[in-house]
Amino acid sequence: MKRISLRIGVALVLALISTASAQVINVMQHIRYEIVKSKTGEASPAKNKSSTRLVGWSIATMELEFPGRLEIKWDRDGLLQELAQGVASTDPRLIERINKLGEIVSKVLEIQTWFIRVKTVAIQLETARAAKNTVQVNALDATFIAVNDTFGKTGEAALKALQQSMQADPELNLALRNPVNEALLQGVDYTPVAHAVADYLQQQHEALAEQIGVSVEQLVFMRAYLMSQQGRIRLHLDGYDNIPEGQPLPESQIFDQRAQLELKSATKLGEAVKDVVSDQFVPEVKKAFEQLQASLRELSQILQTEVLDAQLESLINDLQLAADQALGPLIRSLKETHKLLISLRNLPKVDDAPSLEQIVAVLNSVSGRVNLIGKALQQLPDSLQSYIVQAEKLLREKPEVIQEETVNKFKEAAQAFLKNENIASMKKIYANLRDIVKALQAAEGIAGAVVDEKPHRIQESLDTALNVLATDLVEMHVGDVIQIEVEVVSTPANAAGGTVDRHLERQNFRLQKYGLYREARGGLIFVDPRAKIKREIEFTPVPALSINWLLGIKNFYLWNRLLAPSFGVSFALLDFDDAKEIENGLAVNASLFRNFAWVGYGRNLQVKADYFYLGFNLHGLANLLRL
Amino acid sequence: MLKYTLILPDADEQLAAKLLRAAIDDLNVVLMLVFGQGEKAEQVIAWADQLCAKFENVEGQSFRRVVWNRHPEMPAVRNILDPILSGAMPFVAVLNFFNRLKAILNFDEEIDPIALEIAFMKGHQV
Repeated sequence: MKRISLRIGVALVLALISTASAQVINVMQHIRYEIVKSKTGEASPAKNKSSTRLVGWSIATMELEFPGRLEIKWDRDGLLQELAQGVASTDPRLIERINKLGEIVSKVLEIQTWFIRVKTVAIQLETARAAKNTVQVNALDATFIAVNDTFGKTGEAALKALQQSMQADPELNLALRNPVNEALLQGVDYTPVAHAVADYLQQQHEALAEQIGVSVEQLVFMRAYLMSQQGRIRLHLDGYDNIPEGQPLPESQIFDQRAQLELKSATKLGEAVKDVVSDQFVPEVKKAFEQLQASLRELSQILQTEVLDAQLESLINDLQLAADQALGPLIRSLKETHKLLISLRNLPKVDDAPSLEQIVAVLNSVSGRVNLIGKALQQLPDSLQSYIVQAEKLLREKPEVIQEETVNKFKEAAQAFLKNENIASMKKIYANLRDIVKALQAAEGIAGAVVDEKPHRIQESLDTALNVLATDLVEMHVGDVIQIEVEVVSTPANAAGGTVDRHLERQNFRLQKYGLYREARGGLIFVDPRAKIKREIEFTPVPALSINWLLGIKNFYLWNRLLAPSFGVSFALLDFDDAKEIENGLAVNASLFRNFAWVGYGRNLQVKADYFYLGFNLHGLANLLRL
Repeated sequence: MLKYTLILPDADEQLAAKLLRAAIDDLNVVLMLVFGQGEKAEQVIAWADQLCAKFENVEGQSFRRVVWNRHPEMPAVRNILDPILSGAMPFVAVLNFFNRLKAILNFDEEIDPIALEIAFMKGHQV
């Protein structure tokens, strides 16, 4: 039902598009976004879904509540239809048939809606009649007639459309006649009719995909970016790239990198923020790269997994020879572990004095393995222990499927592997790799260059998902923008002729939190003492940190994006008295316009003097301008 | 087995007319009338009866019903039908809740479950 209703929406959209212009492609129209609230960003276990909200078809910048997971679901069939219009070799009758069938499915489902209403009112009417409630019977009688009338009109229109299409198209008639008749006669409602048509529609879509594939290869690239104060950072999209995701940041972390950066900016007022970032970038990458070289050298020396590999293979062979279906899951699991161990050994070699291009090439290869190594670190010790237990149990219970010698040798190898320093060393290497990735994330140019893109053929499932949550690699804040980019590249299958056509579209989401939420910001405040102090100062600039609470309200865009008042506390290092080494200022802070304008009243705790301040946050202004 | 179909008796004209009148007078149903005999009529009756099942209530009653009149030429029956059908005698006729004629299908038409369902759908309309 859900599958069908999705198609209907697309059919309607397609109808609109096709009437507008056959030349204009709008691939974003074929995407449906679903936001799953999740603090972990994990994929789809039902218990993590605190609520699900359909955002709807692609429109202008939408608010996206986070942390959560943005599930991006394609109507691939609709996309195929649209792209097919530009492909000369596709059969126009096929496209026409698909369009008609899509409309018919939609209409038949409408019958079902009215059928349910008719049945509901019929039951109410019977109940009222049984209760001899004349007033209610009269009222329901009128309703009954009205819903039946609409039901009848809807049904007549839908079935006539189906009948006419079948009469005009012998192939369609042959394919649908029996299934539709059977669905009408046997079904307890009208969904079997919709299914019968939808199933054939699906076959037609496959046929269309085949036709398109013969003349044009169409690849879909999808990319996700975070646009924030840190710049435009590429994010991981499941199945479309190898960008590492990082670990979710603990909620308890108050002063994040943004707040620190803002404080730095406030301190170095006048320096461009971009310069600060780029100055840090080069040494950070170089340092991380040196660590990588050392780590890889270390790894090749200590990661002696050959013995364990061999024993693992023997164990798998023994179990496979037993041809016992019950052992299937264990064998698959052992094979996975085996694969993991082998892939860890195949790390790239690094020259001593690499060029930037070499760094990029190596990082390209390594960054994709960060998740793999993380996975290995989590899984290997437990997996090996579990295999030892399972192998020993098998030996006791089914001695015919496994040899004692194999089990003993495997146990010995696994225990030796677990005892040595491999695990600790791997953790160190993993940390180094993460440093590198972090440095890469800070440098947009190189980060873009090392991404291993995985385009999908148009014939495959195009769905994907994006975890929208702050990690140790990428911070996310309210007001930041997530951008989903889709590029469809059409290449003639016959290499001899034709041109490559690229089509690019983007959809933005503005990150938002609802209810009370906290933000830490850095800013420049102009402090004016409100008591007699030894120095003569008024409205002197001082960098400050503040923790503010804001209130996000659903659908109040002006409030969320522009006004966004907040209240909290601020901290500043003051200098009211030359004789005091440390002077901490603590104040109550209020701000407006997304933390752009600050005002507060506080006290210098050491000098014991009150102060008033006005202040601002440079980045807050940038946020405002971005809205 | 026909569950929602009333087969008018062939031998007793008066009883047939009485039953037909009662069926028509029941304003709580969409009524499909099928006239004549033969293989085609039997097939249509079987399909029409099945198409009533979707509207069955907990007591096994459906507000779609079928009446099969194998001998529409019986004068007592014609007397009832003529005012409704304006003197014509189609193969299939559908009356709505107000006994208005909403759909007819003639014998020479190709009739399948879709055509019958469309006729019933017309019968649901005012």
